[in-house]
Amino acid sequence: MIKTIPLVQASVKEFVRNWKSIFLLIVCPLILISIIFTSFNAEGIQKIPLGLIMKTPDFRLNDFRSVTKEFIILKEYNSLDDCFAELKAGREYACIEVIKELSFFLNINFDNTKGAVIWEVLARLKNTVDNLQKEETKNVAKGVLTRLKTTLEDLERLHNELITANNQLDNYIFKTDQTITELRTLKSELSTTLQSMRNDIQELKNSKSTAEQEKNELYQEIKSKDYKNTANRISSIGLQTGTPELTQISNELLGLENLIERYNQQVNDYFVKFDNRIYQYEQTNEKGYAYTTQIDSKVQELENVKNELVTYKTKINLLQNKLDNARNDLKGVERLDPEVLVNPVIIKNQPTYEGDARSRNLVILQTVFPTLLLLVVLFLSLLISSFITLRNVNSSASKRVMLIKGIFVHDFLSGYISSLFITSIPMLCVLLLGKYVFKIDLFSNFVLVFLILFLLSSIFLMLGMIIANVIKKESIALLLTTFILIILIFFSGLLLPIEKMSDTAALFAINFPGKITIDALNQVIFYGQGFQTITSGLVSLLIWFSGLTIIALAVKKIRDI
Amino acid sequence: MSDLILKVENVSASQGKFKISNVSFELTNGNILGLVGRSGSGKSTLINTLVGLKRPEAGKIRVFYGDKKIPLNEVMGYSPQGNALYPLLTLEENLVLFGQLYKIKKEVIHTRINNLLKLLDLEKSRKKKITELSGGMQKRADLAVSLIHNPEIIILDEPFAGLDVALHKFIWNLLKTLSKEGKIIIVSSHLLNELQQNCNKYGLIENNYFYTTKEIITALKSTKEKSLDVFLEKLFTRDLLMSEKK
Repeated sequence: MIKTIPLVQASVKEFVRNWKSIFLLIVCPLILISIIFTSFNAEGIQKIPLGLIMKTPDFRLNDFRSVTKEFIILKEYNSLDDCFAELKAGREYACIEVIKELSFFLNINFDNTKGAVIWEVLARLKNTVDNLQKEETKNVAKGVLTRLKTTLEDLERLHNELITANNQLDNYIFKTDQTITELRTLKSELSTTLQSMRNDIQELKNSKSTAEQEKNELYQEIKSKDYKNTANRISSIGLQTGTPELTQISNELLGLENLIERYNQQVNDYFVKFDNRIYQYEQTNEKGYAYTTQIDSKVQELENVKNELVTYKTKINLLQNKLDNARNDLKGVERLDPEVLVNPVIIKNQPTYEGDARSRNLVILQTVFPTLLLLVVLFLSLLISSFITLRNVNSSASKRVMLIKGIFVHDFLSGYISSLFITSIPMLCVLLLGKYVFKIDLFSNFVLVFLILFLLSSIFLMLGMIIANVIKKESIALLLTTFILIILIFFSGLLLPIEKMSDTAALFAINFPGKITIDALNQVIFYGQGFQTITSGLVSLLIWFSGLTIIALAVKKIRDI
Repeated sequence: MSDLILKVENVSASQGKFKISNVSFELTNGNILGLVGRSGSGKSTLINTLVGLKRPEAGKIRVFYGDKKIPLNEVMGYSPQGNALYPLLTLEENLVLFGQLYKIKKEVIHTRINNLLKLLDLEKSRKKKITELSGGMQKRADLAVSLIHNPEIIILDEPFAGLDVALHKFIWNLLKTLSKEGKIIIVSSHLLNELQQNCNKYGLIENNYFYTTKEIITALKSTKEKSLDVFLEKLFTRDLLMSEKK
């Protein structure tokens, strides 16, 4: 270090006494950094002029205006062509055409040459329209839910009526069953009665036959007695005898025979009536049997009716079940909040880093800070080290310095240390800006932040030294530095996210110092992570630093030879 | 006075289109070697090779203190064409810096600086930046820095370029003083008559070749030609040079 320190002092003095280098490498970058940092709008995006062409009067224009007035200046046009003319002249960022078919269509013709800001505007417009859409849908949902309530009440009544009907059906089935049973019982009794009747009829017929037979026998017997003749004899006798009693007897006998005849006739008439009655009873019996058959038939019909009733009851039960299910489903829907209906799935984006900032937009700027810091360190480290190394290489004094014994490492170290020292000044300014303007707590974990930035800066200082030792001409070195800067920025994922790169490119970018640094800074600054978490990142940076140091030493050695 | 010997044996070197071969000479204490050659003949190439700014393609460069071999850069002071100073540092800062780089003790540096500034008449310029000095003062400043560590061998590449005659004399007087102190001095120039007057050893560089033969040196020393070009043209018409080449 005995030789390194004087060389560092000489290098820094040379730098400081060269006002051009101070201006170009310190003042200008600081001014540029300040301008860049202060140019960020903490309140968010500026208001963007947009044209509006209303092809329908039904659109909720006032709501749309009130929600978008924070980020849009809306101007109405009569036609799309008028708006396009203004867009092409750069006075409008987009032309929104509102059309109504079944739904509202917002055709947004946007100027895609405007860069990233137009996409943010479009995203906000989409959010606005989505919110309006949700409001509209919510209102519709409320109306639907109200009607649903009425429908549910109707369904409730229907349900009750179905229960009643079901109960009545049960009743009917029961009664039908009862009736069937009674009818069967009646039929059975009737059959029994009819059978008994038939038996009685038969008995009566038999009795009648017997009685008729006996009567006829008796009649015959009586007739055979020829009581008329007898009566006549008696009468004659009486006459003969002059016995009036015999005449009376003969008259009585004749009267008895007449009576017998009359009784015989009556009995015959009674027998005829009896026969007729028997016949009627037989007819009635037959009818009775016919009725039992009819009863059977009717019972069967009643059975069928009962079965049909049972079937209908089953159907009604099924229908009731379905109705109950539908009611339950609808009750579930009725309980829904219109908000839930409109937003059944809600995505809530919750940033894990919220910071202490009062405004969301400052948090956004805070999260951008590591990227800005990386760019500043990258830019300054590369340029300052290239400049200082080139100045040392091309310095007239280098001829003398190189000849000093054992000066190689000291010369190398002095270039590195003086570049690091000079780079640290604007880097510190950026850190202070981050602390006091962006309100990021950088100094609570300062050791780690310092370590990360030290390694990052050292990596790019080495790269600058390599470039300067390879390309001794300042103009070409500057061109090459610019080219390399673009590559470094690209592979740090600053222009194109690493997640959008091809596999090979992403593999390289992930292991690139820029990406490693941003990840480590994010972890330390925003999440207060400690050494353990970022160890692998630090090791990677150290490997890069070591590798580039070796290359820088080798290149310098070859150049010195 | 230590017994110092500088041996250069068959050294060849090239730098771009400049080539030089067959360089051999030996110098001891008090020698002032004048390297003579036209502009672009390869004098600077040879000097760059001698001081170590370039590796020789062939040959050896060795320094001996008696029998002990020592590295040349330990005992060498070098003053290139122009100057080899930090332009935005003051003269004093340059002297202190190189004094520190040559590991001269602090207490010794300032004494030596005072002596050198006095020797080279630069006392009034000690606080001035190199860029603020005139051409002649810059050359003297460069000489002062090349002497800060009291080298035994002093190599100067075209020290008189762009300087006035008075300054030539001043420098030559300084070199002769240093020579008397036993230092070995190598000076390259195309100023034939000055080299004739002040050197005691010569090396001619012509057509990428280094000549130290007695005949050539005698011719060089004895010529009345003031122009090196004329002298060399005349020299090359003689068979002398041709036979040397064989």
